Amino acid sequence: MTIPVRWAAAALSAGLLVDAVTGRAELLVRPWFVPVLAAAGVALAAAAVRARGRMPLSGFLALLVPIAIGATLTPAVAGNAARASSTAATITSRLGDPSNPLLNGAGGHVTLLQILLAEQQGGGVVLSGRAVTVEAMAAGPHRLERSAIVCCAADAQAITLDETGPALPHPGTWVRVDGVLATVGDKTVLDVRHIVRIPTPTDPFL
Amino acid sequence: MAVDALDRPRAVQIRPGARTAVIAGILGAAVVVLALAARLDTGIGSHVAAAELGFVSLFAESLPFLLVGAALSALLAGRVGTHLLRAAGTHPRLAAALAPLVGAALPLCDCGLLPLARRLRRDGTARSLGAFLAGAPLTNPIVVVSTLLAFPGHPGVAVARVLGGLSMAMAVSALVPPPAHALSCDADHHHDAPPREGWLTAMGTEIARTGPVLVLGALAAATLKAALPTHVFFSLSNQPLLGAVAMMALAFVMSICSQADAFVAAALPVGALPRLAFLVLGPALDLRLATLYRREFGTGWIIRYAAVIVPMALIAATVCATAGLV
Repeated sequence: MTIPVRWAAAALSAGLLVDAVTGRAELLVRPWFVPVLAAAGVALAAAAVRARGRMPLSGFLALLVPIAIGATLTPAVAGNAARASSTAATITSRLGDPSNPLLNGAGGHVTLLQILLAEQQGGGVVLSGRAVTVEAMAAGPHRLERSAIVCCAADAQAITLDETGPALPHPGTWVRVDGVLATVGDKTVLDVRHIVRIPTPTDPFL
Repeated sequence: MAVDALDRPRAVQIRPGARTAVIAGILGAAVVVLALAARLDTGIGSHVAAAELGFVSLFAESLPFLLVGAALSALLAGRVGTHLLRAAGTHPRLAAALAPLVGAALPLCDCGLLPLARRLRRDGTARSLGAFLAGAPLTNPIVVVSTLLAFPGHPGVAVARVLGGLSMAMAVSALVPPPAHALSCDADHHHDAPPREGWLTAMGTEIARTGPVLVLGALAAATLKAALPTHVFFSLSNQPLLGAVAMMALAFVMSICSQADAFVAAALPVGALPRLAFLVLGPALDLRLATLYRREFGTGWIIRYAAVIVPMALIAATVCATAGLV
């Protein structure tokens, strides 16, 4: 049994465009790559109009699998996936990041990745005393964690930061913490003053 | 006779429509089970979620490059491209030597090179195919620029990647014969040439031809990555050579797009040689690409290709690291 190729192109086009328009694509790739996915969706829509020939049904069904699984992905699932990124690593640079307030002498609402990059570029001592607010997942009684992706979710890596204040809720719980950055030995830590449980962010990855 | 006909056991025949419904039902049930499993607040749940997310993101990330590759391949069938390919076909040794450098003119990630490789095979320049697939992913501008950005102040890493790609391309060109079907095509390569098609039509054809295999490759890579404890690979990096082998295995499994692998490599907690080995092999051969190449060029060819480029990547990375390039 065969299926018109244009059906496959149309299905993939719809999947990519829906993901790009609804923002679900940001669970899969970095924001700067979303327009590329949208452009691919548009090109596939045009290809669906022009496509000729037929393809095996098995191939068509295989193409529907990522579309179907993609439709079930939610921020909660992505948050759950972030817990599996146990490969703690040290991202040193990344394309498409906005300016880092910590490098401009400020604090406020920052991400774990911004703290890490500022520490690498300016040193932990420079950051000491800055008051910051961070959203992350508890990865232990005194460890905050959040996964960062370089290009797509398949390359997600865990970023961690130890804290020296009150104990965090059980691992996997999302929290917003207020605290002051400090240096212990050669490590930057967060002296947490206030912890609030929050729902899984709409974009669990950084 | 009538009794015989009645007594003879009849083979059970399933109507195609019913078979389709059964397959679609099984796939649908699998998707539902996976969607539920990914929501479990357990270790297994988070690994299923990671595999699902990795699978869909790998597929989505590869798709645009595959489409661009198909469009470029269709454009190559134009007048200028035809002349170039014909010239390459009449000078196979020169073409094989220049093939990896073609990557410098192609702002494509590794997946996008497959339609062009197929064009090489179809148009009688199959002897360049291996050199193209081994070298072009490392000489293309996306890889060079992303490596320079990921390793600021260390241009040697980008140079070492290009040199590694050229070394692998030379070795493949010298040691790996073209795919079997291509050898027979070289004699009369126009006998099965498909009619020229527009770039939009070519995208549709590519989706039908390569899309399902890309699904399998992305699924295999994401599942393995979620299942394997990657910290084990890092623990081997105390010994440079063993660490390099471990990082090559990791690059094969992770199947990271070559536009991003330099940033990931920069973050790996390993030494210079293992990191370079990861960077040299990954764009030329990973699980996702191996699935695509096996489908396109055959199991025998992909085994021979891997048997040459894996040790060559290790040698090239070792030489570059020893020479102080990284």
